[in-house]
Amino acid sequence: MIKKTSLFLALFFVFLLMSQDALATFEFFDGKLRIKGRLEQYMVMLTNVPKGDKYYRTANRLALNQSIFTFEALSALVDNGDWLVNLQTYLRYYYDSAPDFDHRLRRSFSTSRTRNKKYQRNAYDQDDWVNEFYLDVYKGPWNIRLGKQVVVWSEVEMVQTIDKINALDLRYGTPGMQPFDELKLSLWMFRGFYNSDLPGNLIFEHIFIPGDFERTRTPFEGCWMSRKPAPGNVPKALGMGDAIYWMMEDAKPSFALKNYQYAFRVRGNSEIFMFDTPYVIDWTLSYVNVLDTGHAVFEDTERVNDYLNNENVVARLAGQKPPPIPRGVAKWKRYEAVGASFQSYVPQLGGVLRGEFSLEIGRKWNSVNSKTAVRNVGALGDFENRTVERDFLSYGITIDKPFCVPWYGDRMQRWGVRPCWDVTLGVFGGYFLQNNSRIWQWSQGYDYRSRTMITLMIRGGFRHNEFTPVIRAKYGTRNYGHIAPALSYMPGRHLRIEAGYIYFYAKNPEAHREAAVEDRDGAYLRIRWEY
Amino acid sequence: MLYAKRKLTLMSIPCWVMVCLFLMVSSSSAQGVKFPTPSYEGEELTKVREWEKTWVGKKVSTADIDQVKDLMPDAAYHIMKNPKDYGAKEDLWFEIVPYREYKVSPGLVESTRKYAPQAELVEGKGGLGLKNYGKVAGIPFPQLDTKDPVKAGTQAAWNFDGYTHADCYRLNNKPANIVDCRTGRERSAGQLRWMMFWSGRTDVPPTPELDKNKRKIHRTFFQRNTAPPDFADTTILEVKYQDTDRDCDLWIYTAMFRRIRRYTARQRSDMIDGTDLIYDDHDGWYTHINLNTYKLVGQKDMLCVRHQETPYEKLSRVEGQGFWNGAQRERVKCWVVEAVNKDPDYIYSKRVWYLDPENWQFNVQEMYDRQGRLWKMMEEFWAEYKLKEAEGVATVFVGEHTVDLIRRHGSVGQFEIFAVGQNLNRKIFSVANLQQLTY
Repeated sequence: MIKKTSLFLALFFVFLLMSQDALATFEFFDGKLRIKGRLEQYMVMLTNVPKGDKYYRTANRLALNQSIFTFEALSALVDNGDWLVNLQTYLRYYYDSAPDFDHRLRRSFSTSRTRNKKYQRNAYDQDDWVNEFYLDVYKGPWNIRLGKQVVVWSEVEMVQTIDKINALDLRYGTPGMQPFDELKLSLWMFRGFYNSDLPGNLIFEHIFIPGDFERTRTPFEGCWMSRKPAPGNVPKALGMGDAIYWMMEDAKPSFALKNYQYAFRVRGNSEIFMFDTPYVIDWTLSYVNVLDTGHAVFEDTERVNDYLNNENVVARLAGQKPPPIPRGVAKWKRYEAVGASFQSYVPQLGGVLRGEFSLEIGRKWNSVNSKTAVRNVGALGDFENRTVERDFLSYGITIDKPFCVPWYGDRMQRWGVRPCWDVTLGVFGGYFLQNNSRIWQWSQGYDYRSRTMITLMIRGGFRHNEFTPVIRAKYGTRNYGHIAPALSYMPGRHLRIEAGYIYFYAKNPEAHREAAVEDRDGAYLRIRWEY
Repeated sequence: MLYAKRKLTLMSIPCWVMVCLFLMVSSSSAQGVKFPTPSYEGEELTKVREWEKTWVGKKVSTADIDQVKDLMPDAAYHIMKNPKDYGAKEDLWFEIVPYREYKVSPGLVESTRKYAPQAELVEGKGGLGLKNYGKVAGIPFPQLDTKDPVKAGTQAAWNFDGYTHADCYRLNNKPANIVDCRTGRERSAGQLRWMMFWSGRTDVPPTPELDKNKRKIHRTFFQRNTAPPDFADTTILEVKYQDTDRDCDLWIYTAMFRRIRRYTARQRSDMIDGTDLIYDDHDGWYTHINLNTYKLVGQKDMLCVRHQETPYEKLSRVEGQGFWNGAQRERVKCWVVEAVNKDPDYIYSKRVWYLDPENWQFNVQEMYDRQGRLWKMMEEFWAEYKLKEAEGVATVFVGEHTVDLIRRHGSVGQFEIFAVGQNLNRKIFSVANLQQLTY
């Protein structure tokens, strides 16, 4: 493995040394084939390794050392004025060599096969290396896209509400810090658009996914964003958190038509007048009928409880490897959601207002007895032999407004500083419409009915944007959050370097899943060579 | 009218009859409007031709720039004198070509003849505006009222606004480079651009306004980035309205984040992607005319790039050079207009526009910082192109450089023209099209 890593790094540095005169993008056949991509090295070092974690990771070693190679090709297969047929290809390969250099990291994974296939390289699924591959067909007002795709429906950043088509891969990063085309797990689907001439230039969009399914890949034990396997210190043994993860994973729906997912969206662009001021509003209305990608519900709760509370815990506390997880105990359930979004420039604010709302209808949750369950995030209280259905309302509102320094604008620009810095302020929230006391879930902290978060992003530029500083911050009203300053450097046509730090804080780590990672502070460095 | 009267006193009756006949036949002057407006005529032209006998065909470099100093924009002269400061390894140079009057399309002549006699500046909410803006077309004030510098300057600015580049164009800005002349480092950019005027149209029917223009759009602009790789496929849609008090609407599809997002177009003094241009500088001046106050300073004989042949072959530079070599300069007498933004916090204390008297577009623009120092120079290189769906030719810029003289930084671009004067499908300029180009 070391050889493979060395080869990759060598190749990467050869590219870095290549002539800067190389073309920015590559075009062939009179522009009918365009190729681009990148080589990237992404490194994370945790600056705060809690004492208890030292069995599982070595301080001052890289927690993530991911080498990424991407290749994108856009080929125009037919372009005769009547039909336009493109083939979009986006392939991605990565390898995380951090466990190769830190033997303690390897202790987190139950088997070397799990470590290698499910974490270090993109072999989690057979087709993981195909990030996208689809035919894109245009004919008159129709546009059909057939193949493996990523769909982003959200208007706001950092938090998702209506964006429910592709699940996220959160093992290596978080939204806002990494592009969505990397975080989202693509699916084989049919996506069709009809561009109407109706008032508002309505665009009707249908998505049909005939059975392909990806769950949200949360940072499992061994990832830099996750806590150590617990309880106790046992090498190559599942902790309780991962036991849940893999029991749910085992129940992943098969590629079968009965596991279809469907989504519909209408998008419009309307001008309205309020107090004689015209507002051009982009709006969407959406409906999804999808399989839950966040969690499965346990159907054989007796077996699950027994495994978690007895077999796993007992074995681990005795310093032994727990028995294999029970299989066939969970099921991924279907739910529906309706959503709406808008965005408009508001002259009075001098900025852009965006909003989105989503109502999940009848989403199924595991049930726990609130009287017996331990109140802490991820705590595995006894699952009740039932599921509960709840409706959940979520929203996100942001305002983007450039902050231009008065008077000093010209001086700033003469110093090479961008005179206007982008500022985005957001409020996000969610609320269970019914009683939530029996719902077992981590995403907003056990037994909390609602959540509210405030986000802030500031982006500037120095030396003609050769240096781009960004600060992203998120604050949960239960006093937790993170702040992540970063600096990007673009010294030439191809090389991009980004260094940053993420600092988490939480008054109570049990308040939310994001509060639970309060001790995962880390510095990161990303070096990219774009072609 | 003044022009005709002056001629009359000097001419005999038969000549007068001939002049009348000429004016009627050429259809270039009506109700006191003379258009086209050549830079040189009569004696002036003779003098220019005489000068050209010495200079045409000459390659003027750093070594002999002093001989034509008076004809150079101050900033360009400074750069030519100090080539190493602007990234050149050797002398900078340009070529001198003969002055040629721009050919003007029949559509522009006809629109100007039709609407210029009614053109009038009216005081509005935002300052001096053009009466019936959006419903008229052509160059509104081909003859400036030079008695009043403020009025004349404002008229010149509206003339700039009235030129529509034959209503629509498609071009490829490739490559554009952002150059740090001090370090020699460059970043590249590339864009495919579509632009269409919805009102004020002169050449491609329907004129002067597209039908069903319910939102009263003045101009739309669509751009798809092709470089750098991390910005490739990022796409921009901008809509400018006839209402001069209304901000533009701006949508950007960011390929990396896969979202169509609205942006505020109010941050017009922000840099465009790290170039030396701010958003207002796009095409010289890209927003409403009444955001500035204007003053005519006079006229200046200059060497400007008006007929640049094969820019991809003739223009050259080395890596790290923020100023083109090989430009083909010719004599032209530019109108010099000072533009001061009404925003007291605006980034420039003033701009000086050197407008070509024949197409009323920028040949050169100088920008001054708030301390009054010359800060930037923008020079546009023009060429004539045959209209695709109308008669005649129009001028379109095929190259440009903008140089920050204080930071010694430059932005250089070349443009491959796909089509000029071709009616573009208005659906190109829609959010629906933006949506189609997303992935």
